[in-house]
Amino acid sequence: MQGIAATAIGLLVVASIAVGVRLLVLHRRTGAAPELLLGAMLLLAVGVGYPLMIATPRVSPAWAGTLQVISTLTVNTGFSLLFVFTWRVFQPQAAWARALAAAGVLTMLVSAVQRGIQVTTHGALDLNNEPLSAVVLQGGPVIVAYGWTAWESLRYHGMMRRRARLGLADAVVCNRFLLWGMMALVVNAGVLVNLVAFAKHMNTLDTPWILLLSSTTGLTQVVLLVLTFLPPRSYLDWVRARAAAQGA
Amino acid sequence: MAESAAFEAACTCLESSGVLDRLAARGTIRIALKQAGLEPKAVTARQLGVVLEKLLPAELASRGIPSPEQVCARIGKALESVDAAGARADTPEAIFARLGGS
Repeated sequence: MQGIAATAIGLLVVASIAVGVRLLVLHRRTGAAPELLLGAMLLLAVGVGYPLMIATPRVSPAWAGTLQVISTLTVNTGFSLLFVFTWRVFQPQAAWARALAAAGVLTMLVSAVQRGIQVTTHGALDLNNEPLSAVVLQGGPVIVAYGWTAWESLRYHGMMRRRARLGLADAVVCNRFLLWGMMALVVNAGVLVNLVAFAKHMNTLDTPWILLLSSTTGLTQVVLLVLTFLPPRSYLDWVRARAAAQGA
Repeated sequence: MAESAAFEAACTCLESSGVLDRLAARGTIRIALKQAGLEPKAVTARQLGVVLEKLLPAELASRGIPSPEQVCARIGKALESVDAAGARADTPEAIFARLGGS
């Protein structure tokens, strides 16, 4: 079971790096903020942060604290960028969205600083034995960030479907909102599983049902992430053919 | 929150045609836009043109307005003078098209 989980997380890291790099290359060409925000988010949170987080308990105590601080910083910075991405893409003119994004960024920052202080004072933390408040402070904003982006994306997908019926939207782009919304929901399912495990002080790397659920959500994320941002031509052809058949 | 120039032009034209008051004119166009999955703050003249052709006539007819096609044609004329450059370029649709390589 640990092998499957390792494969799932490995594939997720590789896919996130591939998509992140592609989006940053796109940003160099367009100069636009959304590709920079999302590309940096995927690279920092998943491409760099996750592997460092996994490596932390496997290195010497002298390095564990440093790795834990760096991984928390990269993961929290990455998820902060997701708040900004969702605000800038879906609700750029709404004051409430700016406030929510600012609150999300601030909470992630506070959480990172708090962990940094704890590690500096007590050394590397055993995440399986953290108090509930720390678990909620770390995981709560992540759930809000992905929940918000899922809501906005799926709401927009509904609008795009109505546009597509009038010939005002491309079927592939319409489908992309659905994929991104579903991916965000799947991430939240995975985060929730781990939060419950941490809250119950269970070892996430040794408990079969946690590994099974984490692997399932991880592999599903990989598929959805690739179909959203690196779709193979055959998938795009299938989406277009399906839309044409439904419109006929 | 400011609505798009195309939305404002369409509402003004519908109101000035005398068939609906300001509130009803804006509400009717909002309903048609919602059916089309469009938002008043971001709708463009081109998108509104499709709504005028496919949805608004039925909405106007359901309110007992005679010759809805003529009213829509008048609104379509008014939209011709709307500056497309004023429309928001980086919509979620444009961004997601770009991010996925479309």
